[in-house]
Amino acid sequence: MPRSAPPSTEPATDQWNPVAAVAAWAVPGLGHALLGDVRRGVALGLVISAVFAAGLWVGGPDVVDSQRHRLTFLGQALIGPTLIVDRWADGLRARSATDRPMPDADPPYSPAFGRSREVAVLYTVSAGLLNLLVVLDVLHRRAPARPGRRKNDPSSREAEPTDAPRPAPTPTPPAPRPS
Amino acid sequence: MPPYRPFLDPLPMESAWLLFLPPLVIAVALVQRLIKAERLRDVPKQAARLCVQVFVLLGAASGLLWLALWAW
Repeated sequence: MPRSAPPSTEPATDQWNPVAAVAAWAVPGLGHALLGDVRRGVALGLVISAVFAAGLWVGGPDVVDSQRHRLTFLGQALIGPTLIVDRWADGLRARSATDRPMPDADPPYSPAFGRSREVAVLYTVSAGLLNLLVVLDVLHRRAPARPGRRKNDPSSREAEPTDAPRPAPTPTPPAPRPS
Repeated sequence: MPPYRPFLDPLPMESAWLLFLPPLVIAVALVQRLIKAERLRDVPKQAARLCVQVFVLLGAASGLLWLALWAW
């Protein structure tokens, strides 16, 4: 008596992608792109970069400060480019302290206070935390299936999109009337 | 008064700070759905639903806090 094959009980294995995770930290969205999900990576990068840039636009460079606001910087540094912004802000702060011949001369930048600082910190730290989610997702993400699939692989057929146009059914001939 | 320099001077805001809440909610919903959704075409609809849920919860929480403050 032929026995049917038992259902596969093998657990799905997670892939461990440390290189892609580091890339996702350095450039938001790059991790997904390296794993083959380019459109998802581009979308994630655009959204997270826009949130971070909006924070800098609201608060200016003084919002990122690794010396005086370390706890805030911890959240902001979950995005790699924060380190570049911190170096740039350090340079501006140094110029502001030394390069001003007159106290009323235009400063290289203006520090943010009050609501501007609150909103800017909220945006930049939120961008960092969102990028942490992306990094953790990339760390255990499976690479998407390649478009070219094998012929006799039933599992790949299940993934076929169902909204593709189906061929029209052939009309069945009417049943003959009983005489 | 010196002119405003983007990304060097803070944005002057007095009462407009609340307008910065909806974009952040939309961004959080988009990123969460972009990570979790199986198909990218489902992301806008699911993110919109998540945005509505977050706004409703934020409104309910602020209403409760206002009531607590009023009662206290």
